[in-house]
Amino acid sequence: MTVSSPTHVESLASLGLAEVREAFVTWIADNADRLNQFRGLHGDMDSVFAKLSELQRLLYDTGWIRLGWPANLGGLGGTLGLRGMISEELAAAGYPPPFSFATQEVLGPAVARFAPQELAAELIPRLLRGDEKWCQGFSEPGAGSDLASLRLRATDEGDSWRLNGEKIWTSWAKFADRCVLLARTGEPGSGHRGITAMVLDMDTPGIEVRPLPSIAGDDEFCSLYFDDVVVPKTRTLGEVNGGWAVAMFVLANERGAAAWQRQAWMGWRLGTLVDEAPGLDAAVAGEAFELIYGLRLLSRRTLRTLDRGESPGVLPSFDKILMSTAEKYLFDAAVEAMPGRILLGEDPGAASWRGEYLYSRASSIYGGTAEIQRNIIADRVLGLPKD
Amino acid sequence: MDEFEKQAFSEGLAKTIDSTPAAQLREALEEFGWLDLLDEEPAEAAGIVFPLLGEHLVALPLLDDVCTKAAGLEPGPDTAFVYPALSSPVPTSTATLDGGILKMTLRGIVAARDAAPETVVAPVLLDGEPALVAGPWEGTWPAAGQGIDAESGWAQLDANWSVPAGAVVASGEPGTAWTAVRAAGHLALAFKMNAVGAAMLRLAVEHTASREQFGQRLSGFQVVRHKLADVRVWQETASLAADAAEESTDVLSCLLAKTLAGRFLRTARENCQQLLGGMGFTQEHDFHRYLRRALVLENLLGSTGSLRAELGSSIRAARSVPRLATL
Ligand SMILES: Cc1cc2nc3c(=O)[nH]c(=O)nc-3n(C[C@H](O)[C@H](O)[C@H](O)COP(=O)(O)OP(=O)(O)OC[C@H]3O[C@@H](n4cnc5c(N)ncnc54)[C@H](O)[C@@H]3O)c2cc1C
Repeated sequence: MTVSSPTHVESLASLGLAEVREAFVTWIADNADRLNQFRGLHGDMDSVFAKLSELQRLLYDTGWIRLGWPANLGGLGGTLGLRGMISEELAAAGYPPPFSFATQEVLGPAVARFAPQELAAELIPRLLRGDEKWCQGFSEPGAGSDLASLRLRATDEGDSWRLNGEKIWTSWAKFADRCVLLARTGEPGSGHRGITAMVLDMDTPGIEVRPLPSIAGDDEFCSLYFDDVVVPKTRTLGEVNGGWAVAMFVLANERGAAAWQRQAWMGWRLGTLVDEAPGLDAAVAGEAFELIYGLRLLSRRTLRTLDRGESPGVLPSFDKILMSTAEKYLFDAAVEAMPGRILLGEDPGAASWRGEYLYSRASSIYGGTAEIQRNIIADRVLGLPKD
Repeated sequence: MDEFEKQAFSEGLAKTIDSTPAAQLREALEEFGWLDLLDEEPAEAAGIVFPLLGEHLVALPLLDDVCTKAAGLEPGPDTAFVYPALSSPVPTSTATLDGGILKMTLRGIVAARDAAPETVVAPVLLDGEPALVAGPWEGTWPAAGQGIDAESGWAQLDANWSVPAGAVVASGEPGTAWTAVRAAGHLALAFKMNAVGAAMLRLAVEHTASREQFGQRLSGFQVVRHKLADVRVWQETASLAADAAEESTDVLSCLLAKTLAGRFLRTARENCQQLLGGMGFTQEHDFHRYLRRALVLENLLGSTGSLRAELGSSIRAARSVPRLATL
């Protein structure tokens, strides 16, 4: 049986996770012909993104991707766990996460929680449908690890903010329709107390987007230049000068909930590695699995905490360290097992391995570097005295 | 048991351990209800008792009870278990069937005992497959622990043993009885190892937070903080893994609880000893006792590396990655 209507999916949601999982796995299998086009995507980014949006739209129209989101935001209700399950089963079947999936778990929850009701109700359904892409404008040339020192200025103009300054490393900004941005609204030097978060339309006059080729050769990175960009205050997320809370919530989701998707994907990737590399050392394969499993346990805990509406506090710092440790280990293992193919091969599969190897190196940088996570653990988990 | 009851039980047990001389401890634990708890809730029993054994460096062979119970036999003070030689995840004892008699060469590790046990349970390779054998014991038995951690009572056994062929503890598929026993052992060991690691971390935190060099506390140096944070990361992961295995009790989750505990201990041994400076190389400071215990435990019922290799081979053979710890 092929389930493909939101009303049916919605009725399943009330039954529980196991039932929805079974129905979704069946749906994936029944629709293999239709879904096959989304496997092993490569080529230019525009066409890859178009495909991924198409996948997202399909999952939206059939209802699956609306699970775990409240009805007033275009969802079908149910727990966060349902969202985790959907991304896990897609990955297990070898499908890529639809483009805005990652954004959905990283920025979606923050907009849902901190945006004014009408704004969230307008924006979230578009994100879920795959109608638009979002980016995250946090880092600046002068504010990387020390995010609280950011300087992009938002001047108060009554009903609106006027933005001037720069952002950097803004992933996929070139393709994005919206940006969740952090700006300085307090005095210079006001640190984390003088920051405000807002949602910005990327087609607002005064924004210049310049791509910055990434090590993997794609157009992921961008620099953003703001020259008198006007943003209505109705686009403010949370309190004025309360942007740090929004930023921390985004980072908790990035380090924890999004890590759940990542481990599901890594598990699938390990399976393909074992398949493609007969020479892979058994103990290395076992250790890779052990690390991915460790990440799975940690991110499952974070997901459950968020699901209960509680704050995971500093715990996602553990998830982030496991994520980068597991991901780097996995792709180091791949290169060691298939050096010729991965380093010199010209087939699309080799190019994927190569790109993923290079990207895995960034896992200890984005979302807060591994050193910053260690600082957090030393300060706030171990409580080590400093002087 | 709910969390509250567990906590109360654990606190009571800790007091008993603290206040009882080693020679009477076994009896005291039995009075406390150890064997009943093991009988009713084996995984929970391990989760409550083994952390205390690690933290207090108790040298009682309660792992024998866990493994005997998992073999479907009656555990007790007079029943001993023969573990594979250190680091081996598979039996290192062998058996041949000779006219209704099982003739065995037992090679492995055992817990030393004042008096030889009455009954022995041993995993052996019979026709290349792991089997469990239980039978009466008439030979001699190591009376004291050996080597790097003699205090813990682990000793090598190398002996011949014969029992009637009916002594094989059979259940279903070849090797499944042994697999279940090993899993129960892995879980108990993981809990104990995590407590040993926690003690090493505690000692290193205490030391670095109190000792000053260059006019400041050691814990103020970022390298020191990061080394301790790394230990803490693996502690967090290992304890989640032990809890997940206690909940699911499946063979793979137990194996992973052991390998993640091994990863935690390895990092703790390395980083904590380094941060203790010269103090970490004395017998004056307690660190060395935990280090010794860790080294032996890491190698019991399979070293971290050999268990990973087994896991990797099973992934390759199954051509699929197992799905554990579901949402
Ligand atoms: C692939 C990728 C995607 C990204 N996407 C986005 C995005 O979409 N939006 C966005 O806003 N940002 C994004 N970033 C930026 C990312 O958040 C920053 O790169 C990161 O926070 C580090 O900042 P930095 O690059 O300025 O490095 P720096 O902060 O200059 O750090 C350089 C090195 O110094 C170390 N260091 C810094 N401070 C300390 C300290 N206190 N103690 C110890 N060591 C320290 C760091 O750990 C690092 O190893 C992305 C980055 C990458 C790599």
